[in-house]
Amino acid sequence: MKTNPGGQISISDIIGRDELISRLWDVLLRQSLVLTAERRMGKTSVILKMRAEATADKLAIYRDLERVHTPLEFTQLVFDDVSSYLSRYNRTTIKAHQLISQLSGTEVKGLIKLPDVAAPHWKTLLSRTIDDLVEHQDLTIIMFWDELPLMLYNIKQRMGEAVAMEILDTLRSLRQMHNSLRMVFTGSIGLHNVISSLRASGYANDPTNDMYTMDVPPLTNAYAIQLATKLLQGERVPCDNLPSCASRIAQMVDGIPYFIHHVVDQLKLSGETCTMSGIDDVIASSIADQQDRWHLRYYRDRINTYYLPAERPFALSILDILSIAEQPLTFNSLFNQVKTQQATEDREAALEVLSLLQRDHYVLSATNGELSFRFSVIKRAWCIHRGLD
Amino acid sequence: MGGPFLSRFTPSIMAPETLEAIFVQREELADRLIGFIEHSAQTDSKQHNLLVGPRGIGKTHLVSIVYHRVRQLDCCKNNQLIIAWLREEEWGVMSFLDLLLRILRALIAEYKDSALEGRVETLYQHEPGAAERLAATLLREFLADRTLLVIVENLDDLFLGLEDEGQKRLRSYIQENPFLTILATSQSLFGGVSLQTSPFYGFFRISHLEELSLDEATLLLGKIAELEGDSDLASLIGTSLGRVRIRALQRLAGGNHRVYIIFSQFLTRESLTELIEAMMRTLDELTPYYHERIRWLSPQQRKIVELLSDRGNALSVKEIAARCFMSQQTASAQLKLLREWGYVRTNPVGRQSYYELREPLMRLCIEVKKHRDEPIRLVVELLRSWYTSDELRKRLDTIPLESVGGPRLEREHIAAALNLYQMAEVLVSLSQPNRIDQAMLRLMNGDDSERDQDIEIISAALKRMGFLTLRRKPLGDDSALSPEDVAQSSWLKLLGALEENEFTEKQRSNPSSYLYHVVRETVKDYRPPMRRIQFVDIDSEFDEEQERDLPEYLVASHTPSPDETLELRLHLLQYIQTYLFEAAGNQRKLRRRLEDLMGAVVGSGAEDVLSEALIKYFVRLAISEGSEAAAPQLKKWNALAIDVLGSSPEFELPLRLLGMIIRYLNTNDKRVFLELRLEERAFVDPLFDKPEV
Repeated sequence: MKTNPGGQISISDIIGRDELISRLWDVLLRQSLVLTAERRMGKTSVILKMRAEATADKLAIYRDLERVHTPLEFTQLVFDDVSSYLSRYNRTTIKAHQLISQLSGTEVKGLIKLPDVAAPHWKTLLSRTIDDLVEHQDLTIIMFWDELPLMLYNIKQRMGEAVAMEILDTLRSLRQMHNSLRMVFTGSIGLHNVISSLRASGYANDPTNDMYTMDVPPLTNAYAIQLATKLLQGERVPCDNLPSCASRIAQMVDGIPYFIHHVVDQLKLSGETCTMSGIDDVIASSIADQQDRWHLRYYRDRINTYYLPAERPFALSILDILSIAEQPLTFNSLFNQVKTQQATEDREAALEVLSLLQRDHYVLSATNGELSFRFSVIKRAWCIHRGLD
Repeated sequence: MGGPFLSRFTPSIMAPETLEAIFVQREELADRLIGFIEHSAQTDSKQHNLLVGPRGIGKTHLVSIVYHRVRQLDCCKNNQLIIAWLREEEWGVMSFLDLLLRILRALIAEYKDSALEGRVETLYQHEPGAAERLAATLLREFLADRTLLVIVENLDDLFLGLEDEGQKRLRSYIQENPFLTILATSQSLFGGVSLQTSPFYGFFRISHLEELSLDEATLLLGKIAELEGDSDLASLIGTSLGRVRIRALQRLAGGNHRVYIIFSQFLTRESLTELIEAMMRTLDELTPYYHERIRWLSPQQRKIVELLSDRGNALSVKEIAARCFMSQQTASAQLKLLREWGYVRTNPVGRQSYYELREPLMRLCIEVKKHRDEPIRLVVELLRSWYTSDELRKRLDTIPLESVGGPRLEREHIAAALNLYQMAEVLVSLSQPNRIDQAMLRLMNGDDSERDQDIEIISAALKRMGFLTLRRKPLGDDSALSPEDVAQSSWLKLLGALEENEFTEKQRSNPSSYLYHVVRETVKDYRPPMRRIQFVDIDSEFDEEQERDLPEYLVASHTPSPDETLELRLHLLQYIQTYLFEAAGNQRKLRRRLEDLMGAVVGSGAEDVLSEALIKYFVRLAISEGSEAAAPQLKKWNALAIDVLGSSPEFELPLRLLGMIIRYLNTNDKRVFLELRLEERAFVDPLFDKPEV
């Protein structure tokens, strides 16, 4: 296997996700899914593998929604996918077609273009399109919608948050209406980062509360070692002890596949025999890399991008404290230390930010409630970028 | 000559074999990139690579090599992989539709596919939304199960045109249609790939292209010589003269491939006119480019660039903000952008960053315009390394004093280069110290076999002294005596002394001391200026050590060739350091030696030799003694050096550097050296295991 940090991985090269995928299929038997994960954990690989491996009783449709900026564009994509599928069986989206004809939609070489005048009717069009699909076959329909939060972000920016929320509400209503319809939302940012009203309402009226939320974790240690081994072998990196080297790589980057690819890539580039200390050096220099080839500044910058101004000081303090703590901390102990950094008694605010940080995969809460930085590699980067010893 | 065509600005139009013939440094990277592309063609994995490096660093050359080699792969020959190359000139891409059309056009050009061309033409009949969907479908259908290698030059420009929406459309298309593998180039990291909110954040495997080292530059020039059948260039490269010229070029080029290719044709030129004209023409050609780049900046950013150009060394954000009358936040934000766009580079020290201009040529081009009345420092150094002083003098004579514009600038450059030359000439006898001694011996022993030649040698030596005295202002009552008089008097007295046989056996047995003594005797009435050309204090006790060490280096017997100049310079640098090291334990002796050295060079125009030797000496002292022992020693040195050298502006750099080294030894804070220019900072690199970049 060849390294490919950041690129598109062949389905056959996706390692260590079979158990997770099996659990996801189980969930999809019952309900729809929100798949969350830290960046570069391999969410897209997981859903692409699912699409490729969908059994004959399922119709899996994949779309990357990052490009979408309006509800009508979204509707158009869904319409295209449904039309494309139905046309294979000489069927058409009858209900949607009727409406499109009324709205003077045009057809060019088999592609139907929804007219701009259809914009106010996007909900109806979307519903009819899904109706058409459900009516014309008996399979369980699974819509894999990658980067859905980014689509909502685009729409929010262009048309306001209410429209973005309307999409989520419409999708929930479609899920409730059609038993055979499942949706899988994934994205590099959480829905809570995009829609502040979701956050403000504390998810009480969360339009995704009928969906099951699952996390894509790093690879288990065994699979991380397996991936590192295959990459070292595939790239013909000479190792003084292959099992030990692979194990070291897996351990030092917390089993995150993206970083495993990067480490092996750099070891290959160095042209030297891979040793334990060589691995440590590569990781240390990558974490401190001025060019930030591993894109670790993201974890610092994200606080400014997605956290509200009032939340940022708490987020920074909490992460600063946890990044240099030698042991996991209880919340009380953590909050006491936060108070040494800022004048606050607002425990609730601190708890809320902590909850966001957990949702954004910075912080891990153990079963006994003790808190720690979730990933050691990100923790080390945080210390460097924040000038902490 | 008249060999294969070497393009200076558009490597992509060069023949593949020409590209291969002058390919250096990046063989391994090229192999890797080709491996990634081949792997992408043969599997479902798709690799996306971005090559980052400033203009002229060889991005297009590398990409062209990869393109031609990939075309020879089986996967390409059997149509499993097809290629669309969006060249540097792909301007005007404003949307994802534009990009799709460029890719389709590139495919038509590559594969001469008229059917595809016909289908692409029909796209223009539709409104943009429909055309985009049709184009996306058309591309997908055209590719079927094949993999498409898209080569994109200047991805940063392309992304700028695409804007956020276009980038997102592209990202989605790639995600949904995993048949693309991208090889892109960019002058620097840019928001589209480095901002965490951008669609392509973390998407590319990024390779930063390194500058050419001296050895790699030499290899490149060797390959150019071989390609062009230029035996003069090939043989020059192997000589120390060639090495000097390449080194000089490297300071100008900053490791930039293009500059080497541009200047390779001039390396062997002995004609000063040609070189200067070529340099000026090249600067002239590049100036609009750099000015266009600067014009593209906002007024605030321009202000920062001009400040960094003026100052030359790395500055902190605080200082930049103060000098530009802007807040630190503003300066910091602007510098971040300038860094992303490749204008400046940063030197992080602890939590602070220091910025300087990235491309030496940009600084040079700004200097040309801004400092019209002053010689460009780098050009001056290049000239000095390139030509003998005689050539420079001859050229100088052809330019009228009252000339204006280009000739005047040239005149100033040459004059400045000549100033840097003098000491090397004076001290050339280092390479042939025995020649004078032997002449003396023969004359003393009554051997007239080579009398005329011997007298000529000694005469030339003394004339050289006379030449030196010409450059000084006589002091006090002696001012009535002209330097020519002194030279003549020296010569006459020497002859007289030889004839009268008035030296002791001891002095006779040591030719060097003999000459020394003659000179000493002859000039005792003219002490102030003549004392300066001797390395020993005329009033001090005459001892054997001084005899052995010094007088033989006093005189020159001929004008040095550039090769000899280099050898001499290296020899002399070493000599001066040893000379000082020997006296390091004795403050009085050290002072005397420093004064002697000072006396020998001041006004000779060769102050830079002593200046460089002192710097090397200080650095060597700091390393050899360790910081604890070296700091007090250097502190003493500092007081002494200020006393002896302080009044001479030529020694401002070693003095400044000495102060910095002391501060560094006391604080262990590398930031002290950031006050130096990039090239000056190279002097202190030996202090650290690895130089900061």
